[in-house]
Amino acid sequence: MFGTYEKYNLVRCSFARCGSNTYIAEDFYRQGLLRLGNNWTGISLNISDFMFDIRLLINGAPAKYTYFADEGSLKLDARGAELEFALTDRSHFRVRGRGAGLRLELRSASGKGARACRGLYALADGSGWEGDFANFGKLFFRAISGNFSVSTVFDDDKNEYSLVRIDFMPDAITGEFEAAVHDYRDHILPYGEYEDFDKLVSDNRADFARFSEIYRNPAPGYEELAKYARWVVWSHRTKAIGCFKEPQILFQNAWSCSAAPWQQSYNAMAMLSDPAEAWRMICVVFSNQDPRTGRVPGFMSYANPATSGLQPAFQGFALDFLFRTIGDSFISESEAERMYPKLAAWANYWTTYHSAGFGDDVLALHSTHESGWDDSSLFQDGFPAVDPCAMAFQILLMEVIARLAQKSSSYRQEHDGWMTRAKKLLDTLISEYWDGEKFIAKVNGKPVDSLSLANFQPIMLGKRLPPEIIDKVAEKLTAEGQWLTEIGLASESMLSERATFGVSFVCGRVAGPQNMILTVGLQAAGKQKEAEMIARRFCDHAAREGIILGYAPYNIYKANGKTADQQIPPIATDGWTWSSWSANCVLTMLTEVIAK
Amino acid sequence: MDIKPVMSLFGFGHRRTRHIIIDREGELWLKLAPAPQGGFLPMGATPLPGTLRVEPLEDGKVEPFSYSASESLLKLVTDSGKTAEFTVDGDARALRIKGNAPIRLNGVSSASFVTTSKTETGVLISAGTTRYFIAAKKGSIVFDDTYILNKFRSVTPVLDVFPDEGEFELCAFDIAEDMPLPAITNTFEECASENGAEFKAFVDSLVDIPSEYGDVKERIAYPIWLCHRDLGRGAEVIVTNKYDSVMSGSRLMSIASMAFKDAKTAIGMLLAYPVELPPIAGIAAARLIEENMLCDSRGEIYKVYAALEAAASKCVKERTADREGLCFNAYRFESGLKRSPEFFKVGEPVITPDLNAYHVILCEVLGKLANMEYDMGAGKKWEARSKVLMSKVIAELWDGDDFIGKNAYTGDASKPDELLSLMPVILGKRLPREIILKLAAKINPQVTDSAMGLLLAGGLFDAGEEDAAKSIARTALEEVRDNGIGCPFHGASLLALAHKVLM
Repeated sequence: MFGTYEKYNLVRCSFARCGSNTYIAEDFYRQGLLRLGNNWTGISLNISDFMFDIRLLINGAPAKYTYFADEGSLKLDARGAELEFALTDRSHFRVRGRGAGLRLELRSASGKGARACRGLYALADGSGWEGDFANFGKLFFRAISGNFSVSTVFDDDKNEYSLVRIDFMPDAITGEFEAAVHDYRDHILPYGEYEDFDKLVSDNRADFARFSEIYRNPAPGYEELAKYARWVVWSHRTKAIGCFKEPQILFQNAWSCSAAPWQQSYNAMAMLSDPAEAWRMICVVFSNQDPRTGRVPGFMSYANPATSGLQPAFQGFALDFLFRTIGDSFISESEAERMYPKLAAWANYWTTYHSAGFGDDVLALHSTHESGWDDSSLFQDGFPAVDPCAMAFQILLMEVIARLAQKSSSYRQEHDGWMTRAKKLLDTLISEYWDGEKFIAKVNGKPVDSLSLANFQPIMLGKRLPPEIIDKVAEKLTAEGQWLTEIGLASESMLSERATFGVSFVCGRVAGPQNMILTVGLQAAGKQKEAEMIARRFCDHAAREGIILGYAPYNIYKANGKTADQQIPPIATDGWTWSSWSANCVLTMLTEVIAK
Repeated sequence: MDIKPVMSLFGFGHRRTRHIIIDREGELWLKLAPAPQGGFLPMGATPLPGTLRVEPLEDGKVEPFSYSASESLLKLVTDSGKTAEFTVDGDARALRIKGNAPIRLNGVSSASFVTTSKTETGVLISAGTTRYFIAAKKGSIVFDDTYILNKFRSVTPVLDVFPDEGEFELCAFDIAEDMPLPAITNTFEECASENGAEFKAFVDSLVDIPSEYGDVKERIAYPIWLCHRDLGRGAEVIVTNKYDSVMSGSRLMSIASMAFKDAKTAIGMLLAYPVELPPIAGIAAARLIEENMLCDSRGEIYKVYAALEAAASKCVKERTADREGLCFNAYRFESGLKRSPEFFKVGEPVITPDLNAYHVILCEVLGKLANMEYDMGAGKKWEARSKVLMSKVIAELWDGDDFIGKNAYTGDASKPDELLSLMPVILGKRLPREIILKLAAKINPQVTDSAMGLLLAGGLFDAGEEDAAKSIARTALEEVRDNGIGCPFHGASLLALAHKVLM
């Protein structure tokens, strides 16, 4: 899947595994050098002090290597000498060498040497060495066969380590070694027995294959892309440890290694062959719900709980899609009973704390992050901003809550009330926030003059919208050179002076989540041809360029002919690295939007 | 009490809130104490000393000023004689500001991802975990909340406040998300008065020291009082500096516990964190026993026992080569020092005299606690272990002149560490007289000038060298009188020592 001679390498993506905290990425500045880190703290790879250079040793000397990685393992090769890494979901990874040794040398990404290490010592029982890396946790190095040496230098003047190097060396007779490296916070975690290495690799493949079964088959011709996308999601799945009481899907493994609440619902949308898992993904974030207000808080990582912030109420859109696609039988009466109050509290949170103040359910946002679109020009006039996207999400959420009420035993009488509220909000959205060409945001009652793609997001309401609105949205989104580019829908019209492809997210780039929302919406509205055309453009480009979050569609700005800003890599921005968010959007488009 | 000497180190604030006003090169900055936040965006990151700089204005220009500060009130006076006063409303979690000088609260440059909005009722400045809602009880506010889309933030917050009929009054709330604004029930003067009374009561809750050092006790008490951090659910810890640090931990809280009279407070501090190395919790628990502060009916004996037992078990299972002998430190930070101990020059892991001295006391205390719980079998076991370790500490780590460290595997002996080699003095009269005298000769006010260092003086006292201990305590108290205190834990340790040896 990834490798020196493969279509994709590990510069933009990191090698990882479901349930493992370890990742391995190729160094952007020293291509050909793989680096090992972990995502306990959520600190990005470009500033983390906890990064190990991976060196392949031949007769004790580092040698240049090539590599190949798939869902089973990562292999390094240098003139026939070989290293192989296999990650596990049991808080350790294994490595073996044939004719080669392995050197792990700690080198901070931000030029601070080996300062992440607070100590490294041999255990009294001779089983191996333990290293303490402060917030990054501990590592326990064990040689299963072969030899092992540790070199450290402590700089007394700087009061930190200047060298931390662990070498695993092959046995002089067999020419092979095998090792395990455990990672944990305080005490080594139970890991069972060390299985045969080849079995471990094959078990990893089997685990990925099992995970893949929760997705439907992609449209013909997209099998390879779908596999990559599934792999990205699988490799970003956390284990239930630390702040994660249940597995969630991290946004990225090596950059913004946090789990975003609304992204769990994005992931759910693609899991059409396992509705129970889809439902679990949607519900999991409610374990952090504020019991007082109903707010579902924002990002969390292994080390940091979800406490502050919030993201859009995406759950309604996700469930509406699932109901339309696979029905609602996956929600039992007891589940409806359990989740109705939580979702109701969430919906009421929005209308209580984000009310536009009109005495109804119209919502206003107080920051861009609440919309999920951090730099959308919808918000160029400031706050509080009445956002049509937030209202569209709210309408769908209310309808979903009504359906849950109906399926429950205790809340059936609430059904009509929610449907009435949803209908009323829909009528308000259409009558007051549609200007004939697009939906609009308002600040202080005044329309925001924006050419953001987000203006069309309420198409997610599908056939709830009048035909003339549906037709107009479809017309706008398929007109070449405005939002539609050769590679999908740009987040800001190409005719907008605001459009930028530099350090930006949704102010010009072609971003996966918006393309997914809009194509799903067009499909729901009966515009299958348009939806499919756009989805194919985006997915074809993802197949060429990889599963990154946003792409610059051109080298110049169409509005003024100027050369487009370029992001200076590597920086932890959405446009540069592979992400599970883009992967799940690709999967939804491949398996459902694009006709089979 | 005049807190101006510590305004650039700790700042002006209140135990129960996150508000801090810090002095940086004569400028006053408003800041909220750090709090953990999730996510990956560096919300609120800024290299500036605080969120908003206080700038009194005259004819639209910033006017020079001077200020005075006590634990309850900060008063700023401009060159033209106008004033602005600051106090904290603990109930409302607000910084109250009033005066007759027009004031600018200036963000200077924008923190990362800051968003602001102006409403009819006030101004919200939100930057990560810093969320101010600033409302005028009297006077008017001028504020620009333009959002800069391509920079992911609002313009730099600059808030101008103008008096109305010669006076303004502001409330700067530390407001959590989705919380309604607390009601303001006290006047500014009532808040200041209450804060003064609260601080005085806090001073009285600390252990008694000779009355001639009452002023010193207050100076020490202020950072301890200020640097409390609310963990929620009624739990509080003390941090090294509320302004910019959340550092705390078992070792530090054990030391702090010894400065408090109230048993419940002291026990709560001792148990605030799982006991880690170095297990100073044993010394803190010994103090609780000596002063009859453990009451069986509240299950406290068991709680303390369980916490200490976990630490002792870790020492035995994970920090001995054979589960029988002396313990080693695997990592430098386990010594409790920021610097690397001299012992580690022979390579880790290192059997150290300080860790084993703590462990002797830990085991002895566990024995006493077990006996108090009528578990005589466990009591005997711990007492026996304590005695065995005591013998081994002397036999294996005393080289005739100093306590040294040894590599746990090779036995290579290190040179002595200037502080940690003296730590076995905490064993008091358990040590032979000749060892005590040799240690005592090296224990002086310079060596003891830290939170952990002062434990040495307590040990001297227990070893019978009472005059030396008293001298160190008095010297340290005089030092604080002259130069202030730089760390709340150092202060707590000094109060505990002074109480132990001077009362």
